[in-house]
Amino acid sequence: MRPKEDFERLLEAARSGADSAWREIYTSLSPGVLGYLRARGVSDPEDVAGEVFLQVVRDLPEFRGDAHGFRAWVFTIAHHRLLDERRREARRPREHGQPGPDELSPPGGDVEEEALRQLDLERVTRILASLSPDQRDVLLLRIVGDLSVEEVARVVGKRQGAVKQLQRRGLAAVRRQLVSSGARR
Amino acid sequence: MSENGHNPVNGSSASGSEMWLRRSDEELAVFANDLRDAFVRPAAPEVAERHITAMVAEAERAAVLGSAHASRAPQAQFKRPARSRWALTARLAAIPAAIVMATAGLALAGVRPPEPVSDVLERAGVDVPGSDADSKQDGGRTEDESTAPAGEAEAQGTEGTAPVNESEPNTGATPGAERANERAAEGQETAEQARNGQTPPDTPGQSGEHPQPQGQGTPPQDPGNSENAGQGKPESPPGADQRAERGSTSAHSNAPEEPPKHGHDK
Repeated sequence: MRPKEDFERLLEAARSGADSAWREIYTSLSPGVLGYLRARGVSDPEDVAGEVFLQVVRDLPEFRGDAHGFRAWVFTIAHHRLLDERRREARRPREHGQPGPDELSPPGGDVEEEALRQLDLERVTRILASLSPDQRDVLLLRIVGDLSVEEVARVVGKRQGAVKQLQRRGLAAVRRQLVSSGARR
Repeated sequence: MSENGHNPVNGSSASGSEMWLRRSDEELAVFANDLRDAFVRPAAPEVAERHITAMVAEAERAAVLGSAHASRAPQAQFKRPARSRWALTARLAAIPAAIVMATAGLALAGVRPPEPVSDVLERAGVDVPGSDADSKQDGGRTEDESTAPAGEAEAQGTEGTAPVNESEPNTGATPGAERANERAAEGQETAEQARNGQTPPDTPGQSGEHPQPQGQGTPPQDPGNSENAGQGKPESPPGADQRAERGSTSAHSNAPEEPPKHGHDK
């Protein structure tokens, strides 16, 4: 069976409320959505991800497209939720800033591995912090969301040329950071 | 996942982003891997279960609402065009109504609309106040409606237009010139009638009380020249004979000869 037919069957099952279909959608997409929200410093990424997927359920009857389009569509909802969250956080006193290493580190048993992971996380977080918000959005959607330039342009509401430029400048900034920190592995 | 192990939601493989990064720089590809390792991981199992339960409940609710909405959809599709058609009809009907009301309002106010508008209306057969057709009709009714005081008529003959016996406002030099020409011709008729004894000069309600005798104003030298037409000096007529004489003179000199009309004598 072709993937497109698989996807259409999956969406049909999801529309009818099939538990297995929603489980598959969630399992496939939630790590990327959560990663995007975490990397953008959302204070409670799992809570926001829950809202994102509820919105996906509500808006699914209006969705038209294939699997690529569906992935981009889910990230569009996540991006909008992220912006809402940012506005909300701007209105209220900030309790949590950029997620600290403790919030981001997964539970692990190996202390050495955990320490290395922590270092990587700090390094990556520092490099991301050196980017402009737009560059960060574009690079995270490209790398974490695994979206094409066209899909990223749709998500952030910019032209493809603008996205390419942001990507180019963002990658240049990352490269500069990597060189300056001598973080070649 | 589907039977063949392909994930239908992940249309592109996770290595898709690495392709464009590897092409540009290996360091960046390493950074991308680090980025993914740092942030991309599934939610805790209890959180995932909570989310999925909420999603399924929402999907069932949406499915119920969706079926209810689908049953109402045909009605909505039927009603909407009807409403828009009615609105369009109402808008279209409002346009001629507005034109009629505006014209009626102008007529009630005795205002002559601008020349292009009045021309169009006259061509369409609509009587416009102060139009040529109206003037002719008024000319025909001169003896019936000539009881207006002379002062009033003089007051209306502003802007140098030759004073006339019509009680209508003069709104501009160019229409005034046309009217002056017409009135010069009418003055000629009156003079002819006076000579022929058809119109006794001292008949009450006609010459004696006529607000302004026909042909009283100095008609334009050139009937088509509005500059000259506007130079007529209004005067109160000393008498019917003089008026007739003057009207005759001016009519003879400027207006074309017309046979005397007897139709509107009383």
